[in-house]
Amino acid sequence: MKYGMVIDLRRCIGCNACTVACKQQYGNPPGIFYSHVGITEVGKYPNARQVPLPVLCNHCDNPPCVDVCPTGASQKQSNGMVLIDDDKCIGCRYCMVACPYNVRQFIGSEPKGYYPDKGGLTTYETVAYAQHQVGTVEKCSFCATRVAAGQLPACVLTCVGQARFFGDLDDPNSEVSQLIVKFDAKPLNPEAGTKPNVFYIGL
Amino acid sequence: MTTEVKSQRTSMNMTWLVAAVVLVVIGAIAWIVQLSQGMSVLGVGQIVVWGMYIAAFFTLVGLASGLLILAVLADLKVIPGLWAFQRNLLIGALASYVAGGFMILMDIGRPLRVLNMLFDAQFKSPFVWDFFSLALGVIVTIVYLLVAPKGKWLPVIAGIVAGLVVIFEGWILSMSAGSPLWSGGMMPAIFLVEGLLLALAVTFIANPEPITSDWLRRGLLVLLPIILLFNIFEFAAALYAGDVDDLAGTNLVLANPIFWLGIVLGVIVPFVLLIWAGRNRTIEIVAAILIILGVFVAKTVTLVAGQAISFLMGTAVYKPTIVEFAGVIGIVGLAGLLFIVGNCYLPQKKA
Repeated sequence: MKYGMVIDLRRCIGCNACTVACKQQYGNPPGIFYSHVGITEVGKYPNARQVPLPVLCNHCDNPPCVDVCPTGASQKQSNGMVLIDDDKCIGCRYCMVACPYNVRQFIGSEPKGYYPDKGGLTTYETVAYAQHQVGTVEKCSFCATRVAAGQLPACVLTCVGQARFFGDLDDPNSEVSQLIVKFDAKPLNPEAGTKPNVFYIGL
Repeated sequence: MTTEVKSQRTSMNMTWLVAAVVLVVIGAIAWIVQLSQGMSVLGVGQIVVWGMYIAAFFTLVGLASGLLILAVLADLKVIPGLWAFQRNLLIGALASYVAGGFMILMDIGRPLRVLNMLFDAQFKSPFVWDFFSLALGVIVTIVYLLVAPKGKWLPVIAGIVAGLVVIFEGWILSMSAGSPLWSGGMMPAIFLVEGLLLALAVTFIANPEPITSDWLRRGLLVLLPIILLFNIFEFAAALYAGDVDDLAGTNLVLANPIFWLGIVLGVIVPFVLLIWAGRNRTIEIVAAILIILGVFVAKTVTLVAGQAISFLMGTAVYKPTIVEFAGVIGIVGLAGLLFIVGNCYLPQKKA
């Protein structure tokens, strides 16, 4: 079993619904994004255009963040997910330096909330922010708890263009494996040598 | 006459002691502000996550290892007259190692969880190699301070440990997959030369005997061109090979006026001053201080540029805050305070 994701860039409209769904799922404070949509440019003037490129943790097979973590807080699970144990993390941020995708986020201070001029945190923020430990690093977990409960990751479920697919890369009959073969899906930045498990169609 | 000399020394020590305590208080206030308001009071963010604190850590630990290597060279009588300074070199090394450790405590998000490094150490991580080699450096320095070695085993061990600490620090950067700028393999060599430069400059400022000063000056004059060459090797390779990611980081460094200011004021000007200034003590001290600041600037620029090119998010900007400056100043004060206190209270060697 090795979980992975396929993102069909031909279907992605860059609406950031995945970004918002992820933030909502985890109650991420301002400035903290486990998943975001980057913008790349293809072609040359006058035919240049911008292409949205969703980016999240690649749950690499050869994760440098796991190798450099001094306490083993970042661990590669048997199902392929790279997860962080908050209680072990010392906040040294070496994993952030080592990640070639810049997808790890550091909770440096008590979250301020989105509406600081309206008397502090909202009820939702108060509850949600309690899940974040100040001084630790966080990132996309492929929605490990949702997946364990038989649900899809929040970003996959919410994707407006149905551009995201999630499943077992070890199963050659899974939808994600079939899509990778059929459309020659490629990972981002493969030259970093981390063997990512998020693949893109139309890259 | 004796009384006068003694009272001068006491007032000198008191001046330095008060200055060090003031700096430590400034640093303590900065840390309290940081602990109460979180790390948002620092200039680091989600892309550039290591800033001035880490550069200061590398600088202090480089200095410590350089001083320990000089102490070994003193013991082996490689540098004439340096033997008289050996105790100071070792106390300086110990003070710098400990202050460097405190710098890391200030930088990490959960200072108390540093104990996890003991109980959950993952030995694959260069950070853990650095942690344990640093601890070993402290232990070896203490033993070296207290025990007069019979034979050359202790100096040899101390020299190896000092070298390893600096090399591991270089590896922390060069083994990081996230930054092509650091991965050229020169980083440990650059760190080693920078550590020796720092130690020679600090010892030079301490004004040993003329014959020793001459050796230290020669050492600086040899190492300054070497550090310049190492940087040229690193950047020339990136510019010639044209690897897109490496080139982006290299261009960022080369486009930074602070880097060039560091090269001019931290390498070229001190080199010229040391050659042409003769025996002018003031100019010698200015040259040595410029070298120390130059190394710190070079480490900061390289550290930040290696992180600033983000994946699909443009180039991040890092501006150190006043809290960071105060924190670094406090740690420098702590090193000075530890040196002064150690000089007063640590016992002399027993044979």
